Amino acid sequence: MKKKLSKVLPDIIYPFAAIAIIVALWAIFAAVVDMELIVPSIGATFRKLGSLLGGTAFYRAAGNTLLRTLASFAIGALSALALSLVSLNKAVFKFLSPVIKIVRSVPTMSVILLTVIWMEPATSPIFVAFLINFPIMYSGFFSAFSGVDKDLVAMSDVYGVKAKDKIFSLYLPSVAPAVFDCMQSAIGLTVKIVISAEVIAQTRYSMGIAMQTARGYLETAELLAWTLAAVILSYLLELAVFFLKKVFVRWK
Amino acid sequence: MKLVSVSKSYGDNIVFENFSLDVEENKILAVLGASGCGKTTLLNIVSGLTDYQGKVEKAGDRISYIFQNKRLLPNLTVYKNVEYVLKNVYPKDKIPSVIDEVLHKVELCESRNLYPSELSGGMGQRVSLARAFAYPSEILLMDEPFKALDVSLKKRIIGVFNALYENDRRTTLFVTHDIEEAFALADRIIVLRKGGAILCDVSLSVPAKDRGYADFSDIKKLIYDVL
Repeated sequence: MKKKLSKVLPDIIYPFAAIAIIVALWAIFAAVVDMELIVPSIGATFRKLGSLLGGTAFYRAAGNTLLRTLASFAIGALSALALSLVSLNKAVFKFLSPVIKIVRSVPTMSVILLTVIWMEPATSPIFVAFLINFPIMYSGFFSAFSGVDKDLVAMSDVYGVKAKDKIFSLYLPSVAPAVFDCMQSAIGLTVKIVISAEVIAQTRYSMGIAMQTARGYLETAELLAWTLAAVILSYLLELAVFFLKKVFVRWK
Repeated sequence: MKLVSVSKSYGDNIVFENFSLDVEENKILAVLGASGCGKTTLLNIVSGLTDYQGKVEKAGDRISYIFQNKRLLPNLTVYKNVEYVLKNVYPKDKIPSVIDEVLHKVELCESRNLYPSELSGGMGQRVSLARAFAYPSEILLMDEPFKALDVSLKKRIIGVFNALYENDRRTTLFVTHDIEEAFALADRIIVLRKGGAILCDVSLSVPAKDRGYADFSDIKKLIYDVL
């Protein structure tokens, strides 16, 4: 029991210590500046968050942003999975390499501004976030697939194992840990990009436009409350991917 | 099984040149030789894991292969690792009885639900043996399967192998560095040199199970000299 407790404690104490430091710095900064308009106090921000949670507009905005995030993430993950698999063929990999490099190096803001011109405000954040999360997941998935144990592949070939069994028993479980780790970081990033794109695209009923409106009315506490909500949303999504990993990678 | 005029090279490195070899049906042929002489390449040619020129005539297409490293899927239990290679050869309802029987023979019935990371080296190699013998092959290939085991464990695993082989003989190519291992199992021993020359070829008339440690001292000396 003692050993268990000593193992678990660092998992609780260290994150709490980090959060406590951030909160303390915030409180000190707010006290030093002493202007709610510039740096709202913790209390004012949480009161604002509480009042936002009490209204339906919050859930509508957060729900829309969540749906856009999930759509963009799903499109990015599925495309990355399919293309990283076909990229195991050298010719396909060489063909896709420059495309991936271009997509990866185009500045995020250029992508956002261009898609705002080309697409509807409701859909452009999905596309923008896809363009950012896709190359990250593609690279992560590809290196995971390339790292599948060649000895196990050779063993399966000698024993004449069917392609279906190889995919489900060898390839997918081998890449699952790395794939889930990659997805965990990509989903948090997707939340951030979707909200940024919503701000620029002026997407109605979204967390992005809510933040932009709060900024317009100099409601700094409300802006911070929405930011906190975005952080919580991002954390919950990362947690969901983490639990999915626990389910699919049981043998580790 | 017959290899006829087999040639294989990696760039300028010629491993086999017009190499021919007959392996008697249901007998164990041990292949000895210095490192880099092409012992593992020979197994890879027979198993189709590498390309080559020439012909390999086999009685059947199914091959079991016991590797030096166990090559078990880390995400599958002992039972599932054996099942993995059987799905394509047996009807679904027959697989459990085949696995139960072979796990009983290698004394792993109680470890059937363990993952490879939970197994000792000897247990892992017994799973590898179980997988090879559960698979209904005509040919068995072994690439130094006892190399990583300590002496007492090696003796025990060789005992398990002999018990399995006694009831289920297959045409076997057994690659090893260890002359004593070769004498403990083989019906015939060859010593290979790079390029495919056979330096020594001896058939052993006494069955492996009846041999004593000190038997064949003159033949062993001859092989040591050649090596």
